[in-house]
Amino acid sequence: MSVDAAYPRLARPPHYKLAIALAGLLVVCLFLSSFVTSLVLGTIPSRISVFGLPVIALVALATWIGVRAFDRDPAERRRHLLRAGVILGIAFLLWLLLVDLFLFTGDAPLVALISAIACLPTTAFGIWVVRRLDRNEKEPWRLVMVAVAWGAVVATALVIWVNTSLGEIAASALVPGPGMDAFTAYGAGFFEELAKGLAVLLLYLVMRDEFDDVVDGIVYGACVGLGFNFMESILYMTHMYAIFAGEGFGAYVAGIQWYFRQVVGLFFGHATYTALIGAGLGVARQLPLMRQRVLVIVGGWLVAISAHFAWDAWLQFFPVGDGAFALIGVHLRTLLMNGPFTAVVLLLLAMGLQVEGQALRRQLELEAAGGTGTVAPAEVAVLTSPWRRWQARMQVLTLSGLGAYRRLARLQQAQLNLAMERWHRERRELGAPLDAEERLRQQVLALKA
Amino acid sequence: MVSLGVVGILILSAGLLDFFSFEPLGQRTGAHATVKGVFHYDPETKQVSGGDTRRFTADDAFAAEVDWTSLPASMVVDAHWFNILGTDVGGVGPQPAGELVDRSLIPVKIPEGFKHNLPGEYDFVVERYSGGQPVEVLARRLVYVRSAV
Repeated sequence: MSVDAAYPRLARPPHYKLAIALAGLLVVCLFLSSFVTSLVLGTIPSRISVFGLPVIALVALATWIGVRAFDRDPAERRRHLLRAGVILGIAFLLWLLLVDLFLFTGDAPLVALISAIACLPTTAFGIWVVRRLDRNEKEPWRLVMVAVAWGAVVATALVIWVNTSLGEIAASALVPGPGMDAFTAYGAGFFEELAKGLAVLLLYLVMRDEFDDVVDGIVYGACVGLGFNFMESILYMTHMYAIFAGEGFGAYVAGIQWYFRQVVGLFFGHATYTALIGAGLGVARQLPLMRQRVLVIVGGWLVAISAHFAWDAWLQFFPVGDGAFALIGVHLRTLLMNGPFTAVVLLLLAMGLQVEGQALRRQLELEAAGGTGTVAPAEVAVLTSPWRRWQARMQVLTLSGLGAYRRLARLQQAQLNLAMERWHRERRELGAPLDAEERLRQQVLALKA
Repeated sequence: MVSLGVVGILILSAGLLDFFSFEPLGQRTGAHATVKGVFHYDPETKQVSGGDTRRFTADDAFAAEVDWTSLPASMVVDAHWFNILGTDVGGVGPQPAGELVDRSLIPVKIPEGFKHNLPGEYDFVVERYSGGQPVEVLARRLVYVRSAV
């Protein structure tokens, strides 16, 4: 039996070619970034930068294997995706070790290590919260972590040399002050959001079956932003430590950086900006016409760039007051300058969750009414409520143990995937006619058996 | 999302206005100030010593020396040091260049409450003023200060 499916499997569709082209462009940019950095900076960073080239090769290899995996049958695909993930993970660790740790921190790798350890729990908490927000159908951890890793490693590597070059241009041509700040803010807003957004765009192009709508776009975007924020926090903490260590309060200043970047600004800064890009891509996922898709994607990107720009350029104009009021002022500044954009993200998320929840309920009801046995009518109410799903799993855990808990979790996930597939088919978000839906149905039945 | 994009365009346009209000077009006069160099500085005698240097340690006092006669006497100018955080750490002006002839040495001041200069890059800028704001960079020198610890 062959049924129309939401996700093309047999042939390589045009968006894969675009993804491959983008990945190739990224590799070239990373190579140039490493090469330019090695020329601009001194001998020790130069050596490190050259040693960083294997990392670039690993990223390229992981991308190639990852994209090729989708042309293979599902059994093979999983193995190849795992291989790509492992290679990307190794590249991530190497890049972190070689470039960020030594290049950014000079002779203070221990400070960078301590900063990284300090930022890990907060960033992990942020990722956990963002993933939990997708309460109807959570994204797989492997993709969430790929998004984080790309934000932390690839995006930061892409913008190092751009930001350095723009700083040099500004310093040589512009009058110090607000004009120069606006110039560098334009550069940071445009290039950093471009570098981060490319990761979400690649996920949108390649991982259609895990990129369903605006909710997924926000989750992936926020995760890329959290990864970027993680690395940027380490950079600023070590940088500020190096500046103020001679005065005896380097650790204090690094701590302040940690607080404002990892606590106050955890969700308000990069996570919000890139979530806006993800929202645009998520909305585009469900639009029928190319023109509409391009418009919403560009719209998301523009608002993300402008939010980032506004914060960088106009931060200094916000009155924070003196003494005790300054403490309130700096918090208010984050809330009032970035808060409106975060509120927009939350509004889009709430609307997306509502639409997604209603659609899943309708599709589950239709599936139950179809009599295939995949979803019983009584299960619909449980499956559409995260709380009741959790209650059901806990009940099984208590009665039958961890194995039964896991089996039920897999069954619930498969049932929701089936409903999501039906929703995409209903909306004619189709590629080639395939039997993916029927395969999902068989998977659910197998889990039920 | 399209409306949000429009909001984005409005914000970025406001940014352009902001940029051009502080970096107005058509302000290039072609004038250049002569910075004789950056030297070690003795705050007691207020004299410089040694040769033109680009690297100092955080314990060193240093000053830039400007030849104000290289500029038209009526041109309103200032000269300032900015540390790695962009903080103004010493300077003269804005005043007509002719009134600054006896203030050719511009030392870097250690920020209040600090024991040393902060390490990092220091930017020395000579600027021309117009309408009460700096509009053109007439000279620029960059020096690097290493940590004292």
